[in-house]
Amino acid sequence: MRGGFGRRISSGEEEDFSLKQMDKRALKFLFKYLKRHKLKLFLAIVSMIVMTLASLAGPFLIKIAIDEYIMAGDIEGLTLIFALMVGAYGAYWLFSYFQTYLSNWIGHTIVGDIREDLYEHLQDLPIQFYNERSTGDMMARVTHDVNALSDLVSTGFVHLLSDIFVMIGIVVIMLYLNVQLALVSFITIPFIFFIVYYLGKKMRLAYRDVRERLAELNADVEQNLSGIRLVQALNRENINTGKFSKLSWKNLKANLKAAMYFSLLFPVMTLSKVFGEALVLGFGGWGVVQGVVSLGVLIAFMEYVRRFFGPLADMSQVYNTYQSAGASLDRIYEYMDVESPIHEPKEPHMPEKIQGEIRFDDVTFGYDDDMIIDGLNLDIYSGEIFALVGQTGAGKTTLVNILTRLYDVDKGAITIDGVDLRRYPKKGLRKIISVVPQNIFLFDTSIKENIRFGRPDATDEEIVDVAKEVHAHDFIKNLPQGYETRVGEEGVKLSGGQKQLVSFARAMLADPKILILDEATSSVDAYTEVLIQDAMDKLFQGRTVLMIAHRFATLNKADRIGLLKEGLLIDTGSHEELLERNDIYKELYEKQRGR
Amino acid sequence: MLKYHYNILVKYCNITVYTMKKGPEKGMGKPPQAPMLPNLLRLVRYAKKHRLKIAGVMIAVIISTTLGLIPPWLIRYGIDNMIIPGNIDSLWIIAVAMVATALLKGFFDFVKSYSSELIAQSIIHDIRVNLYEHMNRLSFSFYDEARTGDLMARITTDTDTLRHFLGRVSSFVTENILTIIGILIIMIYWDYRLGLLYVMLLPLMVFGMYMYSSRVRPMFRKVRKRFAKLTEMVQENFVGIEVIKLFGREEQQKERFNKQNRDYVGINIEAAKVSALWMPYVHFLIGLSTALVVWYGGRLVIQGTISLGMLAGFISYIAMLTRPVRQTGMMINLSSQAAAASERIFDVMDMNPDVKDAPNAHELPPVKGSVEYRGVSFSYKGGKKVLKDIDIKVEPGETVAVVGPTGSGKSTLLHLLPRFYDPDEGSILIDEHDIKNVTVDSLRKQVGIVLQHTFLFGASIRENISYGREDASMEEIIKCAKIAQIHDFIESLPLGYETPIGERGVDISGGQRQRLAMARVLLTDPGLLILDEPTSSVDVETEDRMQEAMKDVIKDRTTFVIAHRLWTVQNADKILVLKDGEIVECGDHHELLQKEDGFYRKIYQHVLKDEGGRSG
Repeated sequence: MRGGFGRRISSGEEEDFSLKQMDKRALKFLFKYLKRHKLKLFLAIVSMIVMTLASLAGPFLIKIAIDEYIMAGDIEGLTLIFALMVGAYGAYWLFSYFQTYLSNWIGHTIVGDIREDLYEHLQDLPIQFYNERSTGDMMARVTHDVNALSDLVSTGFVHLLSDIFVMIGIVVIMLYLNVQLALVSFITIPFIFFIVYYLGKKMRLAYRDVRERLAELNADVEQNLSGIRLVQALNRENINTGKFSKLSWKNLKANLKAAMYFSLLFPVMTLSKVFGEALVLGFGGWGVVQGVVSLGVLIAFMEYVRRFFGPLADMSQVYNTYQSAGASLDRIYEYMDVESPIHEPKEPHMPEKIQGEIRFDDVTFGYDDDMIIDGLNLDIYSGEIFALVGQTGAGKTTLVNILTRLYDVDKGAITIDGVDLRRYPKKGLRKIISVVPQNIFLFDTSIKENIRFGRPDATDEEIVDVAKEVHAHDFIKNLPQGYETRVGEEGVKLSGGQKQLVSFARAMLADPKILILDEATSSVDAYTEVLIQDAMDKLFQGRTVLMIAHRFATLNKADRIGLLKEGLLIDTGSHEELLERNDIYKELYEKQRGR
Repeated sequence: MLKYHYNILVKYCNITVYTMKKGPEKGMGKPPQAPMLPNLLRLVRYAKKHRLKIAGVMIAVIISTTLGLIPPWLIRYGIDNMIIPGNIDSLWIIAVAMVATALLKGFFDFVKSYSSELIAQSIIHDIRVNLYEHMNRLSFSFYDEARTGDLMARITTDTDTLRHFLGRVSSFVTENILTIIGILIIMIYWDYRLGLLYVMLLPLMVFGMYMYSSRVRPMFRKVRKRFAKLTEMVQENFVGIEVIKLFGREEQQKERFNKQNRDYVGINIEAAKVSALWMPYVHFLIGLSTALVVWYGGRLVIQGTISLGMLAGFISYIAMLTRPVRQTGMMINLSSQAAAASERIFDVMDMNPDVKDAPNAHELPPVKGSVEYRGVSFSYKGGKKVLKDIDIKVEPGETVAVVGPTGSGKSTLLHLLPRFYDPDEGSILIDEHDIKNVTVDSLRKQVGIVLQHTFLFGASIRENISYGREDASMEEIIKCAKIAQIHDFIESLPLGYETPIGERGVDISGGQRQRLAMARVLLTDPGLLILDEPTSSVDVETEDRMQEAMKDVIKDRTTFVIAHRLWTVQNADKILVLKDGEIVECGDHHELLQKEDGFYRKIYQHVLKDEGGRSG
């Protein structure tokens, strides 16, 4: 018997979500999981019924004790009652245990399964999906929304049944004991129901406000702390503290408003209980004197009246629980319903030996409606080092995105060794192609583990070797904990150049047939870059390499250079050839040279 | 049946689940058994100014608890003196008295809970703002070690925990103790045998409190920790999804996730087991006690030693014990949580900023721009020396380029100038003023730095540019944006300067971010300018235009530039070559090229070769 009323009041985030607009398929989705545990669910409900009956037996036994034994002076009978009461409460304890354990087991297991499926599903969705949404929102669905569902299944559902059952039980027993007195006691029910409902509604609104203020406050703290170096560099400390103080004050006011309703709620609940007791005492007392009510009934009634209000308060908020759980379910299902446009091939084909020959065959691609690549044809030969140049926005990185199948082409085809990318198993493709991306992401773990990400089964020696090859070893060994140094959230502890070197090592460790370098060394210092350039012959050996650079300096290793402009490949050739025959290339080059 | 009451409290305490971010780091995740008193006593200082209100709350608590004890007494009186003798003419008075008592109690309850919330909120507001202010003063060295998530948790979650503690614990504890003692007194007063029976029940109650606080609550804490781990993992995987996909690591990440997820489910089920076992204990205990009372009290009634009304009253009192038993266990936990939270808060509060104003610091007068490093050495906390005995002298208006391999200490060297860190040895002078003797504010106002990690705030572009000078006019903002070559881009956006920058600035490329950061610093019009790799992500053409536009900016201004492209440093008046924390070469481009075996010359020749003889 837990997780009820308070939770219902202070959750319920979705005022505007109505259960009616709930997608029926979302419910089906949930039932699919629920069905797996039919037997346990059944047992949980049975336990709940036994538990409720056992707990309701107490006052009834008191009534018998008073009327049959105490009034009659039967001490033996009292011992019997004592044994029965202890037995009833023992049974209550036992079945309450079963009920809570079973329903929690079901809830958490189901929700674990859903979370697992949801995560897997999300991970398979294309990058585009991620770019369109905030990380916070996605996270909330996998964590909070799924948890809300767990509350619904494990406590919400069984709890609701239990509440209904307790209330029905009390009503039946009271009516059985004395119809008139029961009816009198029920007078207060609608009144209390509405007050609690009203206060609950007010409180929910107030708590929503509290949550919003809290979110504002959190956002401010996060911004301030993440940007602390800048804040201090720009002398913003005092201004920011002033702003924070205002936000904190707003938070205080919102909390106080909620506290007002919250503080009203208890008195109302106590009052209604005492009011019930007083009614029973008044009318029951009169009944006792008239001889229509026994003293035992009077005392038992007081017990029952006291027990009636908890479930009653719960019931007044039931709709909201289901509303917010429904909203969570809806949000989860919304994601489950998104289909990945990038499919695993039905008949995957993975050539035995990869040569690394890439062909873009009349490729057209755009994000949404923006056409980025327009009818591109390009052959990159096995073992060739091909460089792409072009202005910002020419589509260089986009080309990388479609070659790695983060996106699928709209028209045309990309083939590797004559096999369409879309026919490669996804995992196979990842083994062939390795990328040093422009935006570098490192995991908040050691440098060693970050490099190992390229090939999970690599040994420590292999990691050190590859770090040496890309000239990352020197700086790594100088770090306080060497290869074990944690890089911090998103690698903040490393400089831009250091991150690029780690990312480079990571890609090289995968030992790919095709290597893509997207501005791989733009932040590396000149000295290290020279070292890397020298190492490139070895690094590139036996691989097809696609380099993207906006600095010509890095292009001298390229066998051929492709010039990209507004999604079109306007020329390919060696540096000298292009310089000679292509004015655009010449202009680009001159600009750099002419500084 | 006060379970709703209890549930609300559970909810209150669980709110922390949602905001909790990072797991414990060193020194903060100490077990909640940490010394409770010293830290909690420090709170008293904050509470002092609310003395009167606190006294008021206490009085309200006492009155309301006393009032709460009256109804069973009235019931007893009604049964014994009216119903049994059949004298019910004034029974209605008893009923009305009960309601009136409840109304009055309700009033005091309201006063009590609202005022204690008010006090708690005010105290927490003060602590929160103090903490925030203090954090803003802490030095870079502190932030190098700290995690944003952890610090955030201290200022949000921990203060919230403290608030629950302050708002509830004191009044609840008083209330519960008063209730338990009050009932005892009444029992003894009614009949000493009933009192004895009651005393015998106490150990069982204490046992319940103990089980609850030592078994049930710790499980919930474990659940929260697991949840935080799961959340962390999900966040990292979502942010790093591109890398996961590019390396085809979906399977492994999924397995890692599943493991975390299974662990979380497991701990939840384990927690459910524990709480399923101990949560109903209270009801069982109350049931058992009632049974005992009926059994023994019934005997006494039959023997005529006590009245039936007493028995009924006693049963009512027993029902009142549910709350103290459950709450006390909860309060014990809340207190230890609060102790841990206050420790974490005061830990930070006690941290002294490494860099602070000297006792007799003066304002740095407007700088002319001469800079001198005298024998400066520096190491990060506990690390090896990053800078060794650096001597530099820079004349006003000079442009100084700093070059050197990754990790040679370039950024560190320049971070000493605005006093992000203080050197271990040696001193730094600006216009002959030792920067240790000027106020940090006046120093940083005049030293503008474009940091390597560009950080943009979730605000509009205009607000981001004017971050260092909120009073800047639109013309000034535009002027700086033009110099940084970002104006055209901003204008091309539908909302122009009012365009909001999204979460982590995702809508903006690295180069654009750098240019915004540049505009931001230019707007502050600093006397000294430090550029730490200002254009590493900017494309060449734009960089060209930027350099052209910057000419005016740096002409009469002492400027330090860290750059890894040699051609951007060629025009500098002075080039410092840094290697392993030492200045190995110093001079202008031509001088350095003269040096046989010079480091600069070596790199330059490589680059020269690679870049096809571009020498500017």
